[in-house]
Amino acid sequence: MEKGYLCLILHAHLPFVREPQYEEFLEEQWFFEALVDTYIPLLRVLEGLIKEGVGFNLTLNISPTLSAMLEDDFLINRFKKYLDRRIELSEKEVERTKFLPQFNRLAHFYYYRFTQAKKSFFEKWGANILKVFKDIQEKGFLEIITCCATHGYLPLLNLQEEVIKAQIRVGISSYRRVFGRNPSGMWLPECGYFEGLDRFLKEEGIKYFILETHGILFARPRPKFGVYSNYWTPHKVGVFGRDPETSKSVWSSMGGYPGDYNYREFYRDIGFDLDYDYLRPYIAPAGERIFTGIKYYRITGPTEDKDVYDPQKALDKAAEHAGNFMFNREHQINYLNSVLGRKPIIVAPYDAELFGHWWFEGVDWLNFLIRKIYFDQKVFKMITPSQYLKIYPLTQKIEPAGSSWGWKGYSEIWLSGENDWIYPHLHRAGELMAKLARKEFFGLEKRILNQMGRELLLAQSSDWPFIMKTGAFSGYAKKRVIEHLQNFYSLYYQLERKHKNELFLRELEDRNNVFADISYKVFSL
Amino acid sequence: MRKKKENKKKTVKKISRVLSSLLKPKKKQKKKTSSSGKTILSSKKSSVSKKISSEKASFKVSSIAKPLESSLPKFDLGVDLKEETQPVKLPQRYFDNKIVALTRDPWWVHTYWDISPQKEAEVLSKISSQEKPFLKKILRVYDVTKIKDIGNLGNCPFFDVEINSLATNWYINVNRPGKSFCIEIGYLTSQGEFFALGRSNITKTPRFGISEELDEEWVLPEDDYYKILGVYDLGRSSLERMRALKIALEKGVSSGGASGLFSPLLRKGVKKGFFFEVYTDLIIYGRTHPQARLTLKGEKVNLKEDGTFSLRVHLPSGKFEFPFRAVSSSGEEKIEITPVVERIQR
Repeated sequence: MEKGYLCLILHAHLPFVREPQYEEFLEEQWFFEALVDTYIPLLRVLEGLIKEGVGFNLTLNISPTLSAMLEDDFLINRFKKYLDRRIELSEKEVERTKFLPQFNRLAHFYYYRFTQAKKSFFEKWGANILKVFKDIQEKGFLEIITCCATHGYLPLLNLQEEVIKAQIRVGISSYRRVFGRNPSGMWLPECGYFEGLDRFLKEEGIKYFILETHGILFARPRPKFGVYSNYWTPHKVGVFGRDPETSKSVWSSMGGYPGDYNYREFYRDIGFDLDYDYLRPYIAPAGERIFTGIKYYRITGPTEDKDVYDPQKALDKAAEHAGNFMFNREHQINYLNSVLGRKPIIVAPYDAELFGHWWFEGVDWLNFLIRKIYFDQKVFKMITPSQYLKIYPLTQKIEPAGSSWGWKGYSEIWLSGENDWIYPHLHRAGELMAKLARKEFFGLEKRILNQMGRELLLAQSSDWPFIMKTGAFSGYAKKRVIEHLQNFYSLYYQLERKHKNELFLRELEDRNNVFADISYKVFSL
Repeated sequence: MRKKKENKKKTVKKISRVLSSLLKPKKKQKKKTSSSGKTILSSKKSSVSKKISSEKASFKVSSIAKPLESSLPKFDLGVDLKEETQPVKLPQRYFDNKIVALTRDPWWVHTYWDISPQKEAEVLSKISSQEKPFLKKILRVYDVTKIKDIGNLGNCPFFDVEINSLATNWYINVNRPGKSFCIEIGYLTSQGEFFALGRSNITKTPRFGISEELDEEWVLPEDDYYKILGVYDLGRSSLERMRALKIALEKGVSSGGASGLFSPLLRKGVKKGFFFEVYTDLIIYGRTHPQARLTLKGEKVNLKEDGTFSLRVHLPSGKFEFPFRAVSSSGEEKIEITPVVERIQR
């Protein structure tokens, strides 16, 4: 009999970036890169595990905006073009590196990677990976949860209840449409929690959510099991806390697995190394050098003098790290079991894009870890939050503390000198939307209201203030907030006017086509 | 077909023009962030935020309020009613007399406000003219944690923060986790009389530290409890623990999470000294009959439709031969050419 559980949660999210008015758009590549580096390799690993009869239980959040992009034919078409260009570049690299055997091997490696990605995605999965994830969920290996509509950071939007409700409701309805059932859990954007949020989750039928460690540890009264059990919130929603040990071993820039010298160096990319004219067709439309995804070096050490990457050595290291992770969990769970008087749950949530994109070997690490857990030990099993809730329905009731998993544990990333100017605008627009949603609209006016809802939700993404704070791409983030709010007000003027400009409305409906079935009524109490 | 394309181009151009016009105010923003970007990371939070708010203020106040039209909502969006599809500009000011409080963390509260000139005049008219030169603009921060009737703040504990009269927002160090706050903005006379311009919503700072409130049904022995907290290496006294927790959070032991857009894995900074690197790629190109078969060292070389070809290879040091052979489609004619290239680096 197992002594405890490991609950791995992957949070997959990207902001909605779709710019059909441009031939090519640099920021759309975030999505393409995440597909090639993370979502496709992850799905291949999961399929492999199932095919080989390896039992596992994984929890995955696919955010509603990511889900909308995965469903969008326009973006999928552009993804195909992106892949074709990567294939072309890696082909050229195979030729160019003829006299450099070490590099030539890697050029082949990338050529294979890109062509395989294309084959899997377009031929095997029919360009619809949501369906593949859904099937895996139905087979019982995966618990897919949802997130707020556009990943709005709720503690800073909590001025109108209607806004909080809309973010939650649209997250749920988007999930229902894609996965054909109600979501059991909700991933709170950035784990952002304020006291009282559980009531909203309860009202919309959410069964559980996850908080950063101190959201649970600082709860009142003192939570008996630390972060190693479920609890009930005052409104009886299940809540779990993040285990600090597992997050440290993967996240930490010092001593964390991804920093191992054998792993691939992310920042050394041919996009910055090779001849400009040769690269020109494969870099940013405006001509600045960017990451191409073809990287030939390993981390090597604290030096600019990088050694050539060796995929086999890196793979061996990933297996070793998976073994180490498992060994540490066995000890942790043995110990916690002896102290707590119940089978502990170790909740280990990560950004999905960490695996494969930032930590290139991360997907292999996951693959090794899941196999090792299944075959090599008996101390613990993998579990999903819903499954664990069934084991301990009788548990302590606590009031979690406001918190987030961002830098310094609260809201500073999203509320500072670089981005605080957005809130006066967001809050007023929220107020106006809530006011309008109390009325009934029909026909064209209803469509205008629905599009106003989409524009407002898009403006509320936590990604924009986050990007403004971190610097790179901040111009784009500002543009997005301003643009969506201006669309919002432009539509509002259409509403006030006798002769409505349907063309203008349709243009926005086509361009910002997220949440096709939204009703402005989600913004009502 | 061509016409269609042109149309498309036009709309693209139009849109980009519209976009670039939208982006204009953004440039100002950019300047602001770059000037404050460095300082915001330093620990002098309050002075930084003041600096930002005053900058913002001078930017905003300089825009003159337009008279409100009856068909417009309560704030001016500066829209040209004739131009139907022209996106409206985001208002710089709303003049709706609102003040809003937002919690940043257990110790800091952020507040922004937008008081109309009319409201200012109305409140100022209640103040005697002798007092006017000595007025201070302040934020009165009430700790309303224990207050039941929010309409009556008479006996409520508070503290004042003097602010720059042009500021539009402020970061307040309330320094009290787990409390509720309400903020009023207004004028303070030298006699200590306060005239409010507006009152904010109530905002609550998160609780900080491990609760001393125990649930009889659910308790673990104290010693065991501090052991299961894992990476938090906490001291024995509660003050020590509190400090350790704060440091742990500040160092981001428990965080690291962020959007998938940016690397959570810090790049290990290595300072690159002066450097110089030279590489050579060799381009070999030529042409033959489009139907010919071209090989290099026996390996097929792909021809473009017009029979031209181009190869690009990285050239290390050394001597390299490139034996090309073109064979006509009938197989009857053959031509061999072998360029030899030597790269020497001194």
